[in-house]
Amino acid sequence: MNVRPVSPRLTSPLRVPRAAAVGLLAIALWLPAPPFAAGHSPDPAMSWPLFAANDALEFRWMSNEVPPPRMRDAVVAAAGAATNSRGSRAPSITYAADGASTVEYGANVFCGVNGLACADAWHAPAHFHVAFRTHGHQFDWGRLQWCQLQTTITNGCFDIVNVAIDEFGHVLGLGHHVNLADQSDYLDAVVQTVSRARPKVGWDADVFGRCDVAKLQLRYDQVNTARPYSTCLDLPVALSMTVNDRSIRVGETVTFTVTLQVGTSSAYERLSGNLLSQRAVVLQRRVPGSSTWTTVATIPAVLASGTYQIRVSPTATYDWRGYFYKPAGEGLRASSSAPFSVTVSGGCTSGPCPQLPEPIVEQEGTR
Amino acid sequence: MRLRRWTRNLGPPLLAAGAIALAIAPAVAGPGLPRVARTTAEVAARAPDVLPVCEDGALGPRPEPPDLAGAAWYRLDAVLDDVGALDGQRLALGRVGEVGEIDVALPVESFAAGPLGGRVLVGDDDGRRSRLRLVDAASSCVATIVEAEADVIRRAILEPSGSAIVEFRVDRANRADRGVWRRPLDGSPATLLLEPLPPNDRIGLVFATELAWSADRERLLVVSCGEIACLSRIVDQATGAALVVDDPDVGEPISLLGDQLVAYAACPAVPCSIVSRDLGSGRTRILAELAGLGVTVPTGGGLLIHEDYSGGDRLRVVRLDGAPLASLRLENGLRLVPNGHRAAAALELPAGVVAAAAGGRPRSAALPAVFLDAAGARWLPAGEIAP
Repeated sequence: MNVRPVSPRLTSPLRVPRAAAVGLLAIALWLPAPPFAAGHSPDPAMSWPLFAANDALEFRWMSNEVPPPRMRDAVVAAAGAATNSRGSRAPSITYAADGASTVEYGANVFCGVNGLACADAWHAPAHFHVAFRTHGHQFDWGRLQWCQLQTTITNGCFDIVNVAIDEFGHVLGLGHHVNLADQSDYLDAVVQTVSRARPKVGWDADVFGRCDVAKLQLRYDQVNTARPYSTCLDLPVALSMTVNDRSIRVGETVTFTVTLQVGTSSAYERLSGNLLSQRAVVLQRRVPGSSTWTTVATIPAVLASGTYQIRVSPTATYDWRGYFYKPAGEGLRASSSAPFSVTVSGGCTSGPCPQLPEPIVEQEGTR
Repeated sequence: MRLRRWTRNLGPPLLAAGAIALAIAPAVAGPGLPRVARTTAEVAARAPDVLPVCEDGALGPRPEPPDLAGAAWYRLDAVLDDVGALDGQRLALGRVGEVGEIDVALPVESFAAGPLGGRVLVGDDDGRRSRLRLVDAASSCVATIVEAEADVIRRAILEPSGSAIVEFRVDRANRADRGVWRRPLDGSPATLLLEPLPPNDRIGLVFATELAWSADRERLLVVSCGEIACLSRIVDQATGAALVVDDPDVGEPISLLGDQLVAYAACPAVPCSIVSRDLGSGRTRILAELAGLGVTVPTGGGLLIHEDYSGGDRLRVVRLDGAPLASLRLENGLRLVPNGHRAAAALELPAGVVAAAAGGRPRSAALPAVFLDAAGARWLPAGEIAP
């Protein structure tokens, strides 16, 4: 996390806050924008219907088109890997002998003349269908080899797990990732237009890539308020901060309350307005008229999702704001609340006044 | 009606002839094809015999079936080994109205094309040479067209006139595109008809190249598909000029009707939109959305019939200007029989008729069928096409 140093925590006598709390809602200004990180955008969407969030999809082998055992093992493993790496409320995918969906070995009329495998989820949310071409299928460029079906693995083979995750990604509504011109972001997605054969980098990627996960999060929502957003996203964050009293005397304590959430826009699909908990939000102040902000403390999260709170006993009048630094490990933008002043009377009235860190009297709640 | 007349003409002698079953094994050298009287493929595999070689002149030009009774059908099925790897293909072919079929065992690198005039073109490659043979379903004989081509012949089709073969080849050593060649059946040397496709970043590595004729049979459609995207080249037989359709909105073609290239959009699978690309204006029109398999007929000014995923199990018929014409219920389990390279199966049908089969792949010619014309579409009574 990119958090500025926090002033040492000091203590001072408590003063009961005024009964009539003053609330100031200051919402950071931001404009809706595509929630994508430059250069590695989330996968596009397939146009077929979505399955329900958190649904449990089960597939069976299509009768008379059952894959050979080693392919079955790999497809089942891929379903598990897709489920474990989906990072969202996208449905889980598992094998069940009586599953409503089907996996087929042999493409026939379904896939057309090209491709290693294909998927159909137009009947979502009822069921899906995935087909894999047969090991040894002859293409113009040569013979298709599935690595798991080879006696001795050779270069040029394709990883069933990798291709199956690609197909399951389609089932869940992911289109092929649009790569940068130099393909430098190929590893950002398993759902790719062009599959890579062994030993090209990414040939055996066996979990969803971050741009796959990003689209799954957009389409199905995040698992909970604490889970990180894919770094393939670049979501704006709305940070609002209130204080219970804007005018106090020296020695009194005020409580700053922050609400942190994803910006609101249809562009952010299911993530729009999501509360953000367990993040690092800091409290900053500046001398009125100054442009330099100083971080005073990290504001602890409270139990309510997306809410952070801290009690402070300021010794002088300052402007205050909450600030959220762009985290290194997830796709959220930096954000700050609109600043407001808390006037402190009875303190130093003739300068130069001592510039001491504000005593933090208490941090409520837990991180 | 012509269809009924064809049906009436089918008789017991044809049924008897159709009981002949044959098998071809690529390891067997010689001009003929191994054959057996069969009831199952296993019997065929145990008792190879040789399908008679067609007599001289038996395979002269015959662009149209003389009657539906002479029409043929074929189907390719994968043959897997013990570990599930493709070990070869089994070609079954037969004639409309006959009970029996010919079974042909083919290697992995093999294909079938047609039927045209009751004949199925069969290509196979044993790793050292490619062969082309023409099986005449009517006379149950085979003629060798190419015995030992050094390049790999990936695909080939008969010219509509029946007087030449057009074939797509790749280099045996490195699988590089070697272009499309025309080989007269009179023994003249093959000539290059279309240069190899230059590298194309949009479609990437070419997975499949397919050949087809336009509905007017005057232009050759050469389709090259990468892992997802396709590119079409249309060669005018009269002038040799090639028109390239390199458009990300146009995927695997279904047919070329006049100046309309009817194709799936760029989808990895069906369902998919079906589009029509006007070769003159370059304009692309969506004919159907959420379409399953689609087939066109030239009758009625050109019609598309397609499976419709948006409204249940139905077939819809649209004109090439996008105007809806008709809608029919598609019985459960049936699918339209698409073109031969997609279905790995095909059958000759009278003009304006399309067939439906379980899984979209015929096992015989006795299939439900739809008759289409400018007035609409209707299911043909059972047995109308073939008993």
